[in-house]
Amino acid sequence: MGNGKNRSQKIRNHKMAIFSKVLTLNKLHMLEKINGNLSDASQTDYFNIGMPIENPPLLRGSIVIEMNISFLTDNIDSFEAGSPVDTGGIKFGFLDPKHDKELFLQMLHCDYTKFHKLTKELFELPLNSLNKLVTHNACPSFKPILEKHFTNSVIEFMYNEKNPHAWLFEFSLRKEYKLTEKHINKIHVPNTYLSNSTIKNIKYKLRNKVITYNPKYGIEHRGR
Amino acid sequence: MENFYVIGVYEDFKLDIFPTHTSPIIAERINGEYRRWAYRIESPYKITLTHSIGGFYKTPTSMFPYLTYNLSKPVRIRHNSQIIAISKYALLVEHNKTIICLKIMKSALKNIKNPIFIHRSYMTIKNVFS
Repeated sequence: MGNGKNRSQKIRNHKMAIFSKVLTLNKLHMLEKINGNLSDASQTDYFNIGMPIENPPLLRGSIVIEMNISFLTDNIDSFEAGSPVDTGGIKFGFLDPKHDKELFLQMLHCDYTKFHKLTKELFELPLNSLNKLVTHNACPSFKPILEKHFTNSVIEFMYNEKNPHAWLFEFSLRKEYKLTEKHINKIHVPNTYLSNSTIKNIKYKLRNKVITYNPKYGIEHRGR
Repeated sequence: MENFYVIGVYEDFKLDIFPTHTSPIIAERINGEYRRWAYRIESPYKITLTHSIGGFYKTPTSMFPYLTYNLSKPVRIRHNSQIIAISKYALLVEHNKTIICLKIMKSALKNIKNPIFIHRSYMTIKNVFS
């Protein structure tokens, strides 16, 4: 009985242990990567642990890609930087750490080894905590993990901040990063985009991983 | 929503996906200056503004550090407005479903030789009512 329960919890955890990216058609190079085409327009891209921030989404897009842990591990060579807090939010002043900005950004900085370890430890948390993680909410059970990797001032800032961007857990990959069928769990696209040949090729390649939604209601009403 | 306008959409039309509903960028306009607002879309369909983002700016363009979206001429918005991109340059902001359908059908007639546009017009009309 116990083993069965553990196994079903592991399966549930596995389904929730994801990364995601919201994009507009400005990120055509990502769609080309999925289609196996090299694109000159490739650039550094940012991803985050869990779902996109949706309460409500501040910067919306039309396409949401959900990826599994292999996306991070297969891109070890393209890994640029990771951070528990949204670094763009700090740079543009939406988040105010009340520290010198540059110093604070250095305190947040994770190299691949640190970010991978952090991600693995967070993804092994029980389901309730994992649910908080993927929806970018604070949870007391994150604290012992964060204490292994970050200073008290970073942890205090995160727990005192109500903004979900303080719990984004983002990472960036250099332009040569890989994004293939194996890395993708689901891709949500507006039902009207499906007849475009680029999107149609993705549908052919990813088959049942492409999920359509009515774009009238925005990405927050996409099917799960 | 008297002072609220659609000033563009959260999309960059680099693929042909017209006509389609798209997510509006909503801003409050006071004394000629614009401030962006976050919103939630409810079901049954209703746009609910949640909170303002950042301060007031003289132009919609200056609101974004990096502009990767499509901005357009400001059009007043209502809670039940639907936002449909007919083409890269034509954005329909309209609450009356009959008018929306007539406008989509008019653009479908103009594109009668483009079967994909006709198919997407059908999809969009279905989306208007669902």
